[in-house]
Amino acid sequence: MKTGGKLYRSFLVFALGMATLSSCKKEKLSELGEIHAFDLYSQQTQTTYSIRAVIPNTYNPATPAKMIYLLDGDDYLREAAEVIHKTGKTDHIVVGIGYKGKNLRGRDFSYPADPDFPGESGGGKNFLICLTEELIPNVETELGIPVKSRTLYGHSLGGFFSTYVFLQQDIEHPFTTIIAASPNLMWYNAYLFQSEEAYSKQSGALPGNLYMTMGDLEGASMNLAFGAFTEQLFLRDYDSLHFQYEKLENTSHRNSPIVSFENGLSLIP
Amino acid sequence: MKKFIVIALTSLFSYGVSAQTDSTRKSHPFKLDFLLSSDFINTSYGSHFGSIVKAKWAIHSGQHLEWFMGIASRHSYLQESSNRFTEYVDGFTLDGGAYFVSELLLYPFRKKHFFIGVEPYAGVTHTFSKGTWKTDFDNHERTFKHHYTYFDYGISQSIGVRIRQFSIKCEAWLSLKGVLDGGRSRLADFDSRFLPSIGFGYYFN
Repeated sequence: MKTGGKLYRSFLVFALGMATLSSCKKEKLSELGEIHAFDLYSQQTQTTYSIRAVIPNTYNPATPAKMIYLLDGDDYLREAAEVIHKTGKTDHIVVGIGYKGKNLRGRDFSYPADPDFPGESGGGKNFLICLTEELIPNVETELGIPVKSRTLYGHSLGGFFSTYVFLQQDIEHPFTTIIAASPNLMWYNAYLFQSEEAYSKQSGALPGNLYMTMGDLEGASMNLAFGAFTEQLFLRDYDSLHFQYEKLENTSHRNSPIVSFENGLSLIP
Repeated sequence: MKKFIVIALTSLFSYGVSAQTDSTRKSHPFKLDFLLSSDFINTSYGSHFGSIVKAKWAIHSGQHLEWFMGIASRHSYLQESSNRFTEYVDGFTLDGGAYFVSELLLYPFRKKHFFIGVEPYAGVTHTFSKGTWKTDFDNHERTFKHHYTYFDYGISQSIGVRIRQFSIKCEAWLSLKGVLDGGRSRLADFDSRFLPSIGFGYYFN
């Protein structure tokens, strides 16, 4: 019984230890810069977005800022702000775009609608209009600072959306740089492959910077689509396109976002 | 078939309860666990199924606690050809490994049927992905093949009932790979599986 008591205590200590295993120290967002947080209701998507912008403490308001619009801001803003802080990019302002209520990334980051996808999908065009006509003007008015360039960052379906924004021709967008981390290029039976093909028939130039990544531990399907798409784009040899892509070694899907964000910063003009 | 399973399980449970009325459980030096698992989080990549087999030796068997040490083997298969987004992929990802395990089972009640358990593990996992990409708008066929072997560690948590020499349990296998070296903050991925599973154990004399 005595041995059992000791074992019982050891069991409790171990269970508590495991429960606190992942609670390592993380920097608070407010320590990484000045936070501007507000909610924005979009008439276009009928959705309220939770916007948080992190301005580095060392930012000089007279310097035009490099704005980075971060999709899935609810998930990645703190880590992205840590990267900006760590790398000493004093003129980079990260704007996290999240959701006030239910997360609707499946609807907002996809185009066209896929009936096989569980839940709503295909709202990418609407969301792009929301970004360009509502969200970005509001954010930049709220911050009241001069802007040098705008970057759009997305991961997974957000990476698909970012690439879609870059290739679509229906709506003029304000982004000079796209960072697409682990993009789901398979969406709607590889829709973007045909979108790019259509674009190439109309123009030999694709102005802007595009950085794409894929982790080698993301399975066969993601890697195959990535390999095929980057090869297609690379061989097209567009004028005015600064295109870089990277296979991330020993990296899985949920671990590519921040590595890609950090590596992609070098492309921002 | 469903009725048969329900009747069989109910009968087995009733038999165990009626047969084991005293509080002294016969100690068994060795047990085998067999579980079927699936990765419900990454279903968009395709259908996923796997199995876990464990062989464990009793170190301690007390009134409310049992402690086992042993070895485990886990295998899983992800059929990526059935992914949710495209029909242009024909491929799969296999992963599996061998591990040392140490299981603590707690029987919180006087009658020792219901238990909860915790089982840390450590070992080696190998992941292998292979596939081809062929579209109807481009005849060029592309292939992908990738191997990766790594030190893997984590924990399984279980809940179940013991009926004489049998146990039926639900388990959650969670790899914590990378957590201790600051290499990651997000789990439940291709190299850090979260696998809900269900299965049974058998205690040998």
